[in-house]
Amino acid sequence: MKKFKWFALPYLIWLILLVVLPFLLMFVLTFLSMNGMNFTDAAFSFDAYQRLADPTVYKAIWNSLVVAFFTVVICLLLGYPTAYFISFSHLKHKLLLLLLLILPMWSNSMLRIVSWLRLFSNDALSSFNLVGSMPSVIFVTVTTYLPFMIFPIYTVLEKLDRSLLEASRDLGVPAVKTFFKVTLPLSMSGVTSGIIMVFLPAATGFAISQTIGQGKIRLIGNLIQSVFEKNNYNYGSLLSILVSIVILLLVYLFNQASKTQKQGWRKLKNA
Amino acid sequence: MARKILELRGVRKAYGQNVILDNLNLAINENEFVTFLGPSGCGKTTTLRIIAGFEKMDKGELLLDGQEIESLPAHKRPINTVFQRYALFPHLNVYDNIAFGLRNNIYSNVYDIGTMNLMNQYGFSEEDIDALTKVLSHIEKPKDVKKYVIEKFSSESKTIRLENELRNFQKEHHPKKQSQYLDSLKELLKKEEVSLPALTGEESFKEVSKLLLAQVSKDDCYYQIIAKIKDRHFKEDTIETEVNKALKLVNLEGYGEREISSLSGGQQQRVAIARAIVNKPRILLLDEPLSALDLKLRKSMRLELREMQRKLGITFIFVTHDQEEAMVMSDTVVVMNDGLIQQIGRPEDIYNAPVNRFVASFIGEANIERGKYLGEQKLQILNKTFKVSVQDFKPGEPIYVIVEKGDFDICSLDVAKLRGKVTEVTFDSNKYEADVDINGTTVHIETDDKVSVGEELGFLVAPGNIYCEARSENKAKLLANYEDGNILEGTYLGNQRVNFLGENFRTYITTFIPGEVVDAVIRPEDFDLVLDDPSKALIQGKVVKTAFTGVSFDIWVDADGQRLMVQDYQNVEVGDTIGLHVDFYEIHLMKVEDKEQPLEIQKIREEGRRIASEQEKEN
Amino acid sequence: MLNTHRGKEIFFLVLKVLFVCFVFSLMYIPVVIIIYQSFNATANSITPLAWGGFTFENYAEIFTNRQLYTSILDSLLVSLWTTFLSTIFGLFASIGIHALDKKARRAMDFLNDIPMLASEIVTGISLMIIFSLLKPIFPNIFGFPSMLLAHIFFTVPYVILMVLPKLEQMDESLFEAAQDLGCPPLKALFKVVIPSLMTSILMGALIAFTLSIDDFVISFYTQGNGFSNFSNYVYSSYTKKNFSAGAYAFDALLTFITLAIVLFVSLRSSHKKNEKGIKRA
Repeated sequence: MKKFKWFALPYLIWLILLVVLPFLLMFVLTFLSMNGMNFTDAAFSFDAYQRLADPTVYKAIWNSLVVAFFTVVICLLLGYPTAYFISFSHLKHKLLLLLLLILPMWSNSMLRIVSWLRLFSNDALSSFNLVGSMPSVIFVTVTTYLPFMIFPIYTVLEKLDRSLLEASRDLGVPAVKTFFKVTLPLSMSGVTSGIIMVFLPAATGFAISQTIGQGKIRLIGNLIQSVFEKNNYNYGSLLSILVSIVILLLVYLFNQASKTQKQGWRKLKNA
Repeated sequence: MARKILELRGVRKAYGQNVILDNLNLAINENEFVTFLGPSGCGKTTTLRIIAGFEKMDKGELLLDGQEIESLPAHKRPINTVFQRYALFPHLNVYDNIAFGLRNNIYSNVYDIGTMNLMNQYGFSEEDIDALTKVLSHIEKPKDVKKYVIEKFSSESKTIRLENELRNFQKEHHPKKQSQYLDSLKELLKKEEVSLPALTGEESFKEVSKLLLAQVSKDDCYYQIIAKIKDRHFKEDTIETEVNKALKLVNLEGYGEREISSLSGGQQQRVAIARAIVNKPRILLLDEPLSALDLKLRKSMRLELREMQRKLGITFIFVTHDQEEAMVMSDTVVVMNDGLIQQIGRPEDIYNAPVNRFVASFIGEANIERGKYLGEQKLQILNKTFKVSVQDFKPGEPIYVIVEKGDFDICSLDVAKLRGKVTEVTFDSNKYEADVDINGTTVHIETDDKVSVGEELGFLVAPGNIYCEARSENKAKLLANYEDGNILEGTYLGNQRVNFLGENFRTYITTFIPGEVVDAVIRPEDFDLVLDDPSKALIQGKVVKTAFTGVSFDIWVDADGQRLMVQDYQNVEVGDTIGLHVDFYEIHLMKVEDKEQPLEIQKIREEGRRIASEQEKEN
Repeated sequence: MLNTHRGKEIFFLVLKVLFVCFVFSLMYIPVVIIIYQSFNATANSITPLAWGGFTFENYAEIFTNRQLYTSILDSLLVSLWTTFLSTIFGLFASIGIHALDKKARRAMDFLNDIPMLASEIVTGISLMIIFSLLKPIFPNIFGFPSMLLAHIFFTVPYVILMVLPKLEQMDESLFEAAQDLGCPPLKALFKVVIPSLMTSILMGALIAFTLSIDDFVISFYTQGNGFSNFSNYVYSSYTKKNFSAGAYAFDALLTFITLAIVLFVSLRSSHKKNEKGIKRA
């Protein structure tokens, strides 16, 4: 099917226009001071870079990382066992259970967030001062992105060859040890993609912190959004690039780490 | 005489530095079961893919019926493939898989087939059907085939002629009342030899014509065929009959509605074959199709495939690395290694007379001993002297050259090596036999094509069809050995060249020079055990190991430090000393490369080659 | 001994079921609230979640509140077009990428990963910048065109993610077989390659639709000229305090429909299985 190489060309052009070009453009914008996208009064300036000295930026990045970290950890702790229990259950309607898991995702996520807010500000719960607090932001983020953790893990567990586990049990390894020595290492690819899929939106979203956080919890997403709202394209561009770099770096480091871990497992097996 | 269907000339294929095929030359005959045999990586599959059109060659020519087809893409070649892992379409059921080619081929021959079926049904003669199919095979698009057939049959159909005439009649006479036109109509009908139906006198002209046409069309098979072809279900109906025929052929009747995933490996294999042959290809390619089956199924499929090839009369090209498969199924085996053809021939020839060490060891077990040819049919191996049967001609020696009557290939005069005038022709059951005068000698030939007395013909003779015998042989005995052979007087020129009928030819005959280093092959089953008095036998040896293979015993014998493998139906004890006997005609000699030869032999060979190339230049 | 073992097993089973129920409830609480609110006569009252009596009025509002129903229609319009276009685009891009040689392939894989790895907000902003650059040439680009392009942009990689691995698994000889049987390459592609990829193509389409209809951030930056989507309607009307309870009703309706489909499909598939079992027996 080598003949169809040229089918990739439109997509390549599309990606260059919508991925590469905007990044270059944003990079140029960081050096220009202007109002909105109006190039007539654009002037060269390092204004945006000077504003990086503002501690609110780092506070926002820190908050984002904290929210994302706790979200990932809680999602993992809730998601892995759920995926495991469903996958290893002897239920007849496993698929139905899975579909029920997808069903809440068909509800609009924005509306779900609003519902949580209504619940938190309900008379019965208002005394806990949930609205505007970090834990409640994390909590809602968890409930929103939990399916993204469960699915990849579930898919990998379903594909896992059960005879491997039987073999382990057959060799006299107790169930708990079998889990840590066989099941968990073999389902690591699902865990890795689950973590990335939850981490990305949790770290950069702004809707949840805006609604549930009531503006008291400012994440990097909120910061970028408010900067663009003020038509400050050069500072906004700089922040966007900064966020992208941080995210890509973290994803890269994470992939690297999980790779070496895999190699470690292999080495252990060989030894 | 076998007709060439496919020819590869000087084919070269390389991936970067890796040369897969190097100057491959091969001709394949019509209606033959040909097997490409070789170890993996020998280039057999690449050759197959080049023929199918999935792979482009770097250099060379690919001819089908003498027409260059290298420029044609895979989908335009009248060649179909059975893939190694079948490649059945998972989204289609068995029926739709088989119908795929007839439905989707842009040059689908569904109308050709449908017309043929109808003609058969209406009792047309074989010759008429053949003549029309020949014409149709040159029309590419199915739509045009349909149009041509309808036009052709319309011109023959009495009904359609009458219809036209009645229409003209109406235009001329504007018939209203029967009394006004009946007489002239009767005249017209007399000319057409049609009788008027019984009339009450009330019918309008239209009704009368309708009755007339209905009456005529009843016996008009042309008209009925046209009606069937014009029917909009014709294409699908034809496909249905053909698919059912194909299913029957592969013993899968009633499996049409089954899903591919519900079939066993053997059944999938049959569907793959049906899907290919339903298109009536000129050549069917089979890429190791039996390799995915279990042993028992594989063995029964071999016979079935062979049977199928005979029944269909399609050329099969079969690729395999299994020598047993090749031996059992093929008419011709092409042994390949390292991108080169090692040997081409009938299975038994390849087994009994391998040309080199590779072929000898790849085809079955063989004892290969390095030795020396002493001359006068004497061979020295295992420190002993054996009698062998070899062609022992000296360059320039007069010999008999035998060419069987079907082995003179007729070709156009400008490329012919021999030219002659036909002096007598007889026709005998589809074949013409002719006496041809070539350079003053009368030669007996046989051909499918029509020849007539006085015609000038050109001939070629393939190297494999030229047999040489010593002049000392009895002529009558030779005639008994060869089927309708022409015994011609000739001269052996040396280096695989002979001269007869005034021209020089290449043969596959191998001669050896006294003192030449050779390899001798002795098949294990060709040894005879001498047990009562081993010392009487030429070879004595000690039994080292024996094994029972189910039918016979494999016995390994140590003779003078050489390990020999022997196969026999009786067992012997390990440690026994036994004698071995070999009949002289069971020892086969093979050429050994120049660099292994003593210097003087190298010189003689060099000289032989020089003379041969000079002679070729003269021609 | 046996009894204590059994008891332990049952204890763990109960624990497992409770845990799964807990996780399910985390995801279902907002859905339950949405359904509750959709029937609540005082869904928009200042006291949150106070029951004001059962009503269908919220459902009627879907058809009477102009802002709401235009946003729903806009959402559907964008998502359906996105599903259609990005499935086709992703399919052909996959076929193209599959045909590339190793080096080009790696570069393409990297570029294709970026829209998935880049955070939504950065994607939204970079697209907004490109579209604002185009605004002098196409004055009406913001609105349906911008949102459609943006949605295609972020859904195509997911379609490719679904289709490409399946394509890689496919036996190349299927394509060759189709040609062998007389199909020109392009026809072979449509007759054989694409049909055998159908399940993954449909999966890709479903994912594209789900992502597109639920998207908030990217649509936030690419909306304009009065064209928005449902998520953005909820966000903006909620902050502007002119939120219509019809939104709950619409969402609840969607949930009921999907639930019905899910139940229907799973019941039918189990029914079919039974039938097959009987046949085999």
